[in-house]
Amino acid sequence: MFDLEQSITAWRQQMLSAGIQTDALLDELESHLREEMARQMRSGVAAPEAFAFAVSQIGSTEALRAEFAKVNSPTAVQWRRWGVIGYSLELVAYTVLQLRQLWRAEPSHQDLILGIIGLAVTLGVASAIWRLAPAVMGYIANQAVRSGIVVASCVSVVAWLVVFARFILPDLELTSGQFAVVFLWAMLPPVAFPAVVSGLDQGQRECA
Amino acid sequence: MLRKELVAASAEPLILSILAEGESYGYAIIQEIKTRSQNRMEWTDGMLYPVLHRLERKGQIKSRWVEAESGRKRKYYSLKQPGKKALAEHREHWAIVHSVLTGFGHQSYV
Repeated sequence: MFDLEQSITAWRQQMLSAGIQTDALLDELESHLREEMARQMRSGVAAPEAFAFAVSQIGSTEALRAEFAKVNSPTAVQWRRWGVIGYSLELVAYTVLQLRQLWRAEPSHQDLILGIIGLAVTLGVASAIWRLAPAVMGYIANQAVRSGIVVASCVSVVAWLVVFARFILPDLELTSGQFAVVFLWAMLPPVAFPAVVSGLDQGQRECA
Repeated sequence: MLRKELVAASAEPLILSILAEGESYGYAIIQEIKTRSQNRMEWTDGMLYPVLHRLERKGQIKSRWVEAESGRKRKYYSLKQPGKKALAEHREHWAIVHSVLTGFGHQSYV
């Protein structure tokens, strides 16, 4: 004897194990299943056949799961938003830490001004790259060239840091105030680097 | 029977159009599409729901559960303001495709 409730429970179990996991969604599909079944039965189809037909109309669980996975994964816009928030926080944290560092170094007036200019230039360059990079990257159609730009800028940033720390800094005789200023200016490339990466990523999405 | 790709591409504008006429739920939306297309648009019923959920996630439609007199629960969807805007845009785009296509048809008979 065909037991509808039991069949529906078994069907839900099957959907669950196929990866369709929220109750609200299963309730919605079940509601659809029951409507279709009712319609079939009104036109004279027996319950077991009506149920089988309704299930087949819903379609393969595999295809459904794949479609729902797409719906639930973050959209490009959301990734972009997280990127903006993350990078902004990073810049704010960098600014606060560097200002504190500069202040502690008891700088002369001149050092203080140069330091703040350095910080402002760094933030300005970083946000300009962030804004302009997607458009520029969008113009470069060749994927290999775009990746090349990111790799090249990464290598240059690392090379710059090595040269700065190993060869430039040791040769300079600096007061602590001057050191803070030089450091602020020298950090421009690494601080701006994530903006280049974001530019590639964004440009690529817009091309796709 | 329409090609699968075309059916998929027209899913969002069709759903938005149906909801523009009033609140509706999954099963009724499918029936409406089948009726209006005289069954020439073949939908796998289940595939409607990912589209509905995507539209809801994009903020174009909203949903609420309603219990019918028969005790049966249905999830009703309705259009939101961004959905109306999206629908207008869809219509405009499909009109462009349509006018280009029909334009070619006329030309060949001149």
